[in-house]
Amino acid sequence: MGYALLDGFDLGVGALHLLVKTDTERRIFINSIGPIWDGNEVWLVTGGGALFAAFPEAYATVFSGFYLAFMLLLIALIFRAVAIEFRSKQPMKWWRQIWDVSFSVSSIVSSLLIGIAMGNLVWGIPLGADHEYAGTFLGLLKPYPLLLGFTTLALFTMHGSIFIVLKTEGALQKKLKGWVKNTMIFFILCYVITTLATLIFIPRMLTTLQQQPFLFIVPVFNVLAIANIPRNISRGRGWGAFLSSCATLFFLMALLGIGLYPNMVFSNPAPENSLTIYNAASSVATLKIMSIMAAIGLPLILSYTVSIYWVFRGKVKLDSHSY
Amino acid sequence: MVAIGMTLIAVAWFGLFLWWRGLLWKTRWFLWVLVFSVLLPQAANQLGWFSAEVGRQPYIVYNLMKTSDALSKTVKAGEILTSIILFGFIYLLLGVLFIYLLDDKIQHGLHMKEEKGHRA
Repeated sequence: MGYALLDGFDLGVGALHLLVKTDTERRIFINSIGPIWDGNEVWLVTGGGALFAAFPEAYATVFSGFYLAFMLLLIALIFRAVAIEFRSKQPMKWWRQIWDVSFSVSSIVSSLLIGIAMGNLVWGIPLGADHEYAGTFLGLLKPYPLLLGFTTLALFTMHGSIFIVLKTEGALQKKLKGWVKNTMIFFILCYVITTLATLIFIPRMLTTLQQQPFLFIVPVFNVLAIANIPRNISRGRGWGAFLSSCATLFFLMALLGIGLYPNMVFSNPAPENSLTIYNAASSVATLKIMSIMAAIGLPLILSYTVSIYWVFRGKVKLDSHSY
Repeated sequence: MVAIGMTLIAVAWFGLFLWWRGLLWKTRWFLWVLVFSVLLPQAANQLGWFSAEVGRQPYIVYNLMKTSDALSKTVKAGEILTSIILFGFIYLLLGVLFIYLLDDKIQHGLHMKEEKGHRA
């Protein structure tokens, strides 16, 4: 969840990168996430590590079953990182163009893959009785996961566009404000389609909601958060829009979690082989230690994240130290 | 690996001694030693990993689990080989780029370069 919130917008900035054409504008894009993307990506590492420690069976099944997809994701993330660093180190136009394309394509591919992975967890993947993945790489590309892949791309792009509006000024910012509207519409479209598809094809996502009706507050807040974004944009409140976008992500992930609960990896076509939080978990002792570590670690991580954002607050100004 | 570590410490101390005596920038042979000593930590690092990973066989968790028991059943050997080769190529590419860029910085200084090149 933290990963989606944080890396979401810098993947979104990457997805939009090729749509600005001049060197200065592209440098502004890269420098907007320049100081912070690395810390954001750390949340992915932490999430994977925590999954390994707390729910090793789920980690094993997902990471080995989705092996080729993960390799692809890894390569995409490597090239995103390298593109940011290498892009401005040479003056040649072809050099910068190659790395700009690399930055953007890898951001888009990463967003899609993350969404496809989530979609597969929800839709269900064939799991054998030993909880191992029994399908193929191409079997991961079913319609519902692909839909979630595009929704994630739309979400991250919207999140990224709101962020980049916060970080720019003048004529560039004016141009980008128009993009927020477009990305938001694209996202809402995807969101509606996804919601309908989920309700029609995966009714089990509703069982937890029905059992605990107070949880209905989550989708309500989700919709409110999404509605809040255009409201804030039209009033010129960039920060309000960004926070609403964060809230959207938060409640969307919460909704996903509630829908999946108690499953972690759903097995389709044999639901009895599903991995739940109960059969995939480590021992009680491990989980206890994990909780203590998380309680100590999370505040530390949050505090340094906040301090970095604070140090680099404000509009992007290109100087001799910029990317 | 340990020998490399000791050597590097000795090199560092000797360099410190020369600096204290004001001779560091004048002792050319030592400066060359410093240039090539950069390779030593690389070697030490790799050798350390070799000894750890080879030495642990056939166990992945010493005395408790063999490596053959710890394999992912769903990942085929071909996939793993492909990904290792792929990573090899990627690292090679990145390594070459890194050396090229580093050399460029050393030759031409640290200032940022404005974009130039043909307009398509």
